[in-house]
Amino acid sequence: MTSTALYLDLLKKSLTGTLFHQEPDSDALLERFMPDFVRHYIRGSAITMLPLSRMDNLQFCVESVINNGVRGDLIETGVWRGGATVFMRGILKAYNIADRDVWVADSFEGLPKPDREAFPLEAKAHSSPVMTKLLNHFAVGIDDVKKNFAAYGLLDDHVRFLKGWFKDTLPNVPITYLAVMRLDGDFYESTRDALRNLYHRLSPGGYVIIDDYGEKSWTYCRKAVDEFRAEQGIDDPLFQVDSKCFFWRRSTGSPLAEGNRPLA
Amino acid sequence: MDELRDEVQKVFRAVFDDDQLVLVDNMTADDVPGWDSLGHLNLVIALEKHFGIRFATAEISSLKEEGQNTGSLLALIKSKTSM
Repeated sequence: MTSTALYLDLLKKSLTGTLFHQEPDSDALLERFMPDFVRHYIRGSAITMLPLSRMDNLQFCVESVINNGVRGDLIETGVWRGGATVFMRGILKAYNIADRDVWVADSFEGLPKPDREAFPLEAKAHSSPVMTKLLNHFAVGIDDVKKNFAAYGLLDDHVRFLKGWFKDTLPNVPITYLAVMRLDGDFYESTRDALRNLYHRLSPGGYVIIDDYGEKSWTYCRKAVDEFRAEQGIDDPLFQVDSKCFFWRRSTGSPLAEGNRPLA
Repeated sequence: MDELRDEVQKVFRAVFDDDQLVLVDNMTADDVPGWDSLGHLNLVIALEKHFGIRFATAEISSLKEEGQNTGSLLALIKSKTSM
């Protein structure tokens, strides 16, 4: 392995809390997954909730746009403790990339409250005792996220924070081109707002990653994506990272890589 | 079993924030204030940590099924420990 590959592998394992601990099995039934999830993420020291498979996918996408000269910045919408964006910045720094920024978009106040009539599953999840009392709607303050960047030596002028609800911050964000957009806002409206306000900035050859596309029990994320793709006439194939996370490349080229399966 | 019961009782008291809670075999979730979905999750996490054990998925869901009580829970933990 090269020193760059070694660094990025170590960074991934550190951010996911998997240097010394096994990550929760995201395909396990909820009864087993939740105790492991709370222990590993909520009460643990992991900086990201992404399993290693999704970090590998993120690395693949970022390295692909670097290697292919796809113009633009990187963004994640919905960052929790910031681990995926720390990793984005780490990849850019490891490859000495100085002309791209990493955008960190979040309310930093937790998930927005969904409309109960329009999105009953999301409203139920949002108001559940586990979400309100234990997960705190995944709220992590912006200062804590900045501390995480700083702890890894990656807080600099190439990290740009967008604090607020996506519907307010994204329409006027000063981004000209994007190369990778990773959407992890969990709910329908967060996903829709990110797609509507960012997709037209995505360069051909760039990637859209949808963290919760395969999640059906508590979110309408998939519906937001399917509607947007239909509205925009997007027929680039969707590829599966794991049971929940999917992505596509805005191009006619094939992003098929080892471990990524085309959507049936 | 008494030693095990005492240890499980300690966990119950901590999770449900009740220093007076006394664990008896026929107790169910309905008998313990706070034993809702969140309480159940916290209980599973605390028991696994305290005893260094791991429940299977079916065991976790079965703990709240009809006919199950703290006696069943004690028997399950006993089967996973040397106590």
